[in-house]
Amino acid sequence: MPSSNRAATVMTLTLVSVLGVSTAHGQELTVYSSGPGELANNLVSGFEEETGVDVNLFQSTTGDVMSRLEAERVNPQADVIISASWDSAADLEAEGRLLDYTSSNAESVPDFLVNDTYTAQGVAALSLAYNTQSDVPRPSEWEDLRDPVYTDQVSMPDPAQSGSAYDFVAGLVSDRGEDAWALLDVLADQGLIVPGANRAALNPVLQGGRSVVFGAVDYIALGQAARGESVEVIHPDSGTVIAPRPIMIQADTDQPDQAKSFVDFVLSETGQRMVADVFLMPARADIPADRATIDELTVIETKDDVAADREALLGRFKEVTEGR
Amino acid sequence: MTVVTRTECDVHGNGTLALHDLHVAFDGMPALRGVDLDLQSGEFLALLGPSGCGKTTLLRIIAGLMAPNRGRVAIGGMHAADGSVGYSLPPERRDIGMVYQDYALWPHLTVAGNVAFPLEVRGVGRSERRRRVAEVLDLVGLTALAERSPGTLSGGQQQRVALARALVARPGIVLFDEPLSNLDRELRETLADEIADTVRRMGVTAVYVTHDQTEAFGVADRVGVLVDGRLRQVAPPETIFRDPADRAVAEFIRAGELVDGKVDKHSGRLRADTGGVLLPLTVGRAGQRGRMLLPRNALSPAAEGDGHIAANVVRCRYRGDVYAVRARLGGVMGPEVEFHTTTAPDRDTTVPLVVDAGQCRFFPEKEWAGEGETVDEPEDAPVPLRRPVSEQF
Amino acid sequence: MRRRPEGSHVLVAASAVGLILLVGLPLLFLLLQAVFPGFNEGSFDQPFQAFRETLPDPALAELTGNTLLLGLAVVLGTLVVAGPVGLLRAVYRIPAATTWDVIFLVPFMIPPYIAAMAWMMTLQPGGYLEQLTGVHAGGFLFSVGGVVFVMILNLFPLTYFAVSRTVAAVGGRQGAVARVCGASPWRAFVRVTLPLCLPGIAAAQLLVFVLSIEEFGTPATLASRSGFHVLVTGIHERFADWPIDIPGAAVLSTVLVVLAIAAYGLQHWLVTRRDRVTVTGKPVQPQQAEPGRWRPAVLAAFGMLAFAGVVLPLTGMVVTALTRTVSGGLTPGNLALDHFRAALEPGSGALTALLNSLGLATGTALVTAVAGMVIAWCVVRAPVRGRTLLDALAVLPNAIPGIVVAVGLVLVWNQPWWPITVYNTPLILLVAYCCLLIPYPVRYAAAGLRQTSVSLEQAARVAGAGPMRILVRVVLPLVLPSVLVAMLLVFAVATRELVASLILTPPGMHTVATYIFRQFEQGSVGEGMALSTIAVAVTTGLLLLVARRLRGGMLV
Repeated sequence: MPSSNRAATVMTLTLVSVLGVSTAHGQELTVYSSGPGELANNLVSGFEEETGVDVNLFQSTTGDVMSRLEAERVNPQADVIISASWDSAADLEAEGRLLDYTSSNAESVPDFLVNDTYTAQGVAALSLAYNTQSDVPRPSEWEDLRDPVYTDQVSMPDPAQSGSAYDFVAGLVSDRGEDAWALLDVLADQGLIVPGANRAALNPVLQGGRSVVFGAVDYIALGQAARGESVEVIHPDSGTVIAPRPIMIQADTDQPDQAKSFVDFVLSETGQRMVADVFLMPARADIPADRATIDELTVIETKDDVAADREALLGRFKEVTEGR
Repeated sequence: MTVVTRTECDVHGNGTLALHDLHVAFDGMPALRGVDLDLQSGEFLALLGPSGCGKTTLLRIIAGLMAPNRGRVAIGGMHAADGSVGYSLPPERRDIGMVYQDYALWPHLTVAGNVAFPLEVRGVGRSERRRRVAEVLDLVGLTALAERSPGTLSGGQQQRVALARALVARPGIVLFDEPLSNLDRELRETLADEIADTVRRMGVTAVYVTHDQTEAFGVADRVGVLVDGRLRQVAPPETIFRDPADRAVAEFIRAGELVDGKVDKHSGRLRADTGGVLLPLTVGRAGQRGRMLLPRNALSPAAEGDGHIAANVVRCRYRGDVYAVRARLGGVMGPEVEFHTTTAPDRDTTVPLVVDAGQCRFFPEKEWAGEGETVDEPEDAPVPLRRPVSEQF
Repeated sequence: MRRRPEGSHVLVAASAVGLILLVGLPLLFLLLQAVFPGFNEGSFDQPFQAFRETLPDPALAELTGNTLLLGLAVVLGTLVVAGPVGLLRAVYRIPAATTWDVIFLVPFMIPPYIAAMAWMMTLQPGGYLEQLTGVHAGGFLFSVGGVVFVMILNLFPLTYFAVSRTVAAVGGRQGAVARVCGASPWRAFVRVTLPLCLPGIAAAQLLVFVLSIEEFGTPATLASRSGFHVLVTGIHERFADWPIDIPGAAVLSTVLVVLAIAAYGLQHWLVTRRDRVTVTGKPVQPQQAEPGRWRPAVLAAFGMLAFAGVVLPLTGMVVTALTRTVSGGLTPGNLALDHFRAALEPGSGALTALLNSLGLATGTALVTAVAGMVIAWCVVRAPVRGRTLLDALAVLPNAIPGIVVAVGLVLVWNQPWWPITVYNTPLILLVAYCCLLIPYPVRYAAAGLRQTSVSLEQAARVAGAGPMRILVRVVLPLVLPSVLVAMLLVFAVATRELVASLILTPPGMHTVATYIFRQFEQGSVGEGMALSTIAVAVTTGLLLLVARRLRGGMLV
C-alpha cells in the first residue's frame, strides 16, 4: 500500500525531527543532578565549553534522581551523580556502586567533606528563614521560637520528604538530646505546620501566612531574597546543621576519564564560583562566597547512631508533630 | 381475550378532543396557522399531510409536549392548553397514550415492564396491574413475549408492545405518530388493520398521523388533511377523495390530473393553458381563471361521436386488472392525463375520450388567493405550466 | 500464485503486539518487581518478600482507606456539583449554551497540580483572599475536605458533559415518552431517564474515580500537612524519598491497580446487570424548554460553577504569574510582567519545553488515533477470537496511574538485552503518553464504528479492496469525527502530563510540566505560573481552533 507507507514515513520523519531522537550515547557524558537547576545548567555548559564533551543532564529533585538510579540498576545510565543528600552517597558507596576518585582540585576542601568515592561540591546550612515584613519579632535562636508570640507562625520542612530537614532533626537531637524533642513539642503545641519539602515550607512564609521557617535550607531562602522576596536567613550562633552536597562517579561508567574531568571541573575555581553564585557555600575553603561560609558558622556534629536509625527518628517526629 | 365495553371507558372520562384556532411558530416560522378540530369520543381520525406540514407539531401540542402560541386545546371536556394565557396542562395529566414511529420502548424494562408503566404511575395496585397487562398483551397477541427485552423483538412486535403500552391505562385519546413507517409494506397493512380493530374495540379516540394515504383511508372514520399548517379538510375518506375541499387537498390526494385554464366566454368550458383544449365544466364564471381536477374515473374511452375529446396516447402500462393509459388531451400539445381502460391502445394513436363533468372539480384562482393572508405559492398568477402530478410516480 | 495472509489477521496481530508492548509489558514487569524485590537488579530471589513486608503494614490499610475515601468523595462531589448543572443544560435552552460548554472545558486545560498551587496561593493564610478581604480558608483547604473540593473543581467537566450529553441524547426523548404515559416529571426522571442515562454517567464517574485515586499533586500539596496520605503519595514516598523502596512502591502500585480494576468491574456490573442495554445514539431534535422565570436561578448555577471551577483557579494562576515577589503581595508596585519576560527569554528553556510538549502531544494524538482506529476495528469487526482480550488490554490503562506506567516502562525499556531502546530518548515519553491515553481513541473509534453499518465495508470488499484499503478509504472517513474528538482530548492531557514525565524525561529535556514543577521546586513560583498561563492559553487556543473546524463544535 504505497500511500500508507508514504504516510508512515512522513509521520516517522516528523516525529524524529520534532523530538530530535538521539540514540548514540557513545561519547556523551550523562550527569544526574539534584540541582539547583541553574547551577547544574551552568556547570554543564561550562564543562562542555572547556572540554568539548557533550553532556546529557538529568536535573530533578534528589528523590527523582535517586529513584531513577534505583530503577535503572540493572542497566545504569548515569556517569556522574550530584546529590543533595550526603547519606545517599554513603549508601551508594556501601553498596559498592561508586568509583574511587578524589579530585586533585579537592585539596582545599575540608577533610570531613571528602571521601574515597564522593566529595562535597557545595554545602547548604539549615537556618531560620524569617519574613521581614511580619509582625512578630526577628528570632535569632532556635529556642526563641518557644515564645508564644510565634504561635501559628512557624513552618517546617518534613524530614520524611527532605534530606536536609532529616539532617537538621538528626543534628538537633544529636546536639541536645531530649531538649530537641521538647522544643519540637512546644512548637507543635503552638501550631507548627509541616507542609512538605523545603519549598512547601517556605511558601507560606513568603505569602505572609507564617513568619518563620524552622530548619530552612539557607541557599533557597537566600536565592529568594536575591529575587526581592522579603525573607532573611538567620544562622543561630548556638550552632546549626550543614548539608553537604556530594558529587560522585557511578562505578560502572563507560567513560571514567570524562567523568573524572567533570568532577575536576566542578571542583575547579570556575566550578566553585558557579556554586557560590547560587548561594551555596563552595566546598573549597579558598573560594569566596557572598554569604556566611562554613568557618563562620557553628557547625553541629551529627551523631552517626542518631542519624542511622531513620525509622525511629521519623517515627518520633511524626508522633510529636502529628495528631494534634 | 377481554372485550372492553364503552361504559367501562366512560368511567375514565370521555375521549372528546377540541382544538380551537391553534397557532405555533418556530423561530418566527409559522408551523400551525389556525387549526380547528372537533372529535367525538371513540372517533378514529387520520391526520394526513406532506412532510413538514405540521402533523407532528399538532400531535405534540395535543400530547402537551409543546404549548401553542395561540389557541385552545380541550381534552375530554377538560381545559388542556390556552396559548393566549400560556397555560398548558402537563402531558401526564391529560390521560392520553402515544405510539411512536421508532416505538420508543425503554430498553431497561421488559415487555411487561414497559406495558405496566402507565398503570404503575397511575398508582394501580400490583395484582390489578398484572391482570391488566396480561389482558392487553393478550389483545395484541404478545403474551408469550412478556418477559423478553424489547430490543430482542422484531419491529412489528415492538410496535405491538408500544400499542399495548399506549392502551393499557384506557386513556381517552391515543395518539399515533407515523407508527408504521419503519415497517415493511406487507406488515404495514396487517398491522394498520390490527391497530384500528384494537382501538375501536376499546372505544378509544385516536389521532393517527401518517403520510400514507392508503393507510389513512384504510383505518380512519374521518381523515384530516393538513397542508402548510392548516387543516384544509376533515371528512370521511370518500369525501376527501371525491370532493377535495381545495386545490391543496386535491394536489396532495392525487385523485387525478390538475389542469390550469380559463373559463371560455362562449362555451362556458375551461380552455386549458396547454394546447387550448376545451374541457367540460359545471361551475365557473366566464373569464375566470382556475385549476381543474380531472379524476382518473372521470375519463373513459368513448365511441366516435359528439362530446368526445381526442387524446394522443403517450404511454400505456398494464396494471394487472386494467391498463393505465397516459395521453395528451386534444393533441400532442395538450395537457397530459391518465385514465383506465380494459384494452390497450397503441402508442401515438388517437383515442376519443369522454369526460364526466360531474366528477370534475374546479378551483377558481380567486379562491386560492383568498385562502390565507400570505400567498405562499409563487404560481398564483399568471398560472404557469404545471407538471402533471401523476408524473411524479 | 502465493496466498496472501488474511489481511484482518495481520491487523489483529499488529494490534495485539502493539498493545502488549505498550500496555502488557510494563504491567507485567511491574508485577514481577512486586513479586521479586531484586528484579530491578536482575535477581529473582526472595519472591513475595515485599508483599510479606508491605501487606501486613497497618499503614497500607490506612492508605487504601484514604484512597477509597478520596475517590468516592470526589465521585459523589462531582455528581452533586456538576450533575444538576449538566441536567439543566440538557433540559433547558440555556442562553449562550455553547459558550458555557467551552468555559467548562477549561479545567481540562489546567493541570491539577497547577490548580492546587493556585488554590493554595489564593486561600491559604496570607493568600490573595486574605490580602483582599482579611479572611482565609487555610483550615479547610489543607484538609481532606480541601483536597476533595479542589479535585471536584478539577474533574467536574467529565460529569457535566456526561450528564448533559447523555440526558439530552437519551433522557429528554424517553422522559417525554414517560410523561405521555402519565408519569410526573420526577417519576419520569427516576424511572426512565435516570436508568437509561446510567451507563453513560457511570462510565464518566468511573473515570472520575480513577483520576482521583491516581492524582498525586493535589493531595501532596494540600493534605500531607494534615497527615492525610493516599496510595499515590505513598508510592511516591517509597519511590522518591531516600532510602528508595522500589519493591514496596510496586506492591502499593499493584494495590492501586487492583482498586481501579475493581471500580471498573463494579461499574461494568452496575451497567450490565440487567439485560444488556444498548441505547442507540440516534440524533434526535433536542427538546429543550425555556427556563422562563427560573432563568436567573439557572444562570446563577452556571455562573457559580464557572466562577469556582474556572475563574478562581485561573485568577490565582495569572495573579501569581504577575506578582514580582510572593512576599510583595497584591500591591500595584509588585505587579509586573517580569515572570512572563523571564519565561519567554530565549535561553530560559521554557519555550523549548513548551515546544517539546506540543510536539509530543501532537505525536501522541496522531499515534494513538491511528493505533486506536486499528484496534477499535479489530475489537468491533475482526472475525477472530480473543478480541475481548484486546479490548480489555486497550482499556486497562484507564485504570493504571501514571506513576505505575512510568515505573513499568523504566523496568521494561532499560533492560540491557534490548538491541535498541526508546529509554533515555524523547520517544520514551511518547510511549508513556500513548500507553496512558490509548483508551480514549479506542473507545471513541469503537463507538463511532458501532454506529456505522458493516455493509459499507462489505461493499468496499466486494469492490475489490483489501483490509488496509478499506481501513484507509472507508473506515477512516466514517469514524474520523469521533476520533478527532478523542485526539483533542489526548492532546490536551498529553501537553500537561506530569507524573510519568518527571520519572521518564530523558537527560537534557524538559516538558511544560517538568519545567513548571522544577520552577516550583527550585526556582520561582511566579515563573512556573507564567509558563503555565502561556501553556493553558496556547492549548486552549489550539483546541478551540480545531474544535471550530469540527462540525457541531462539541468536544465531549
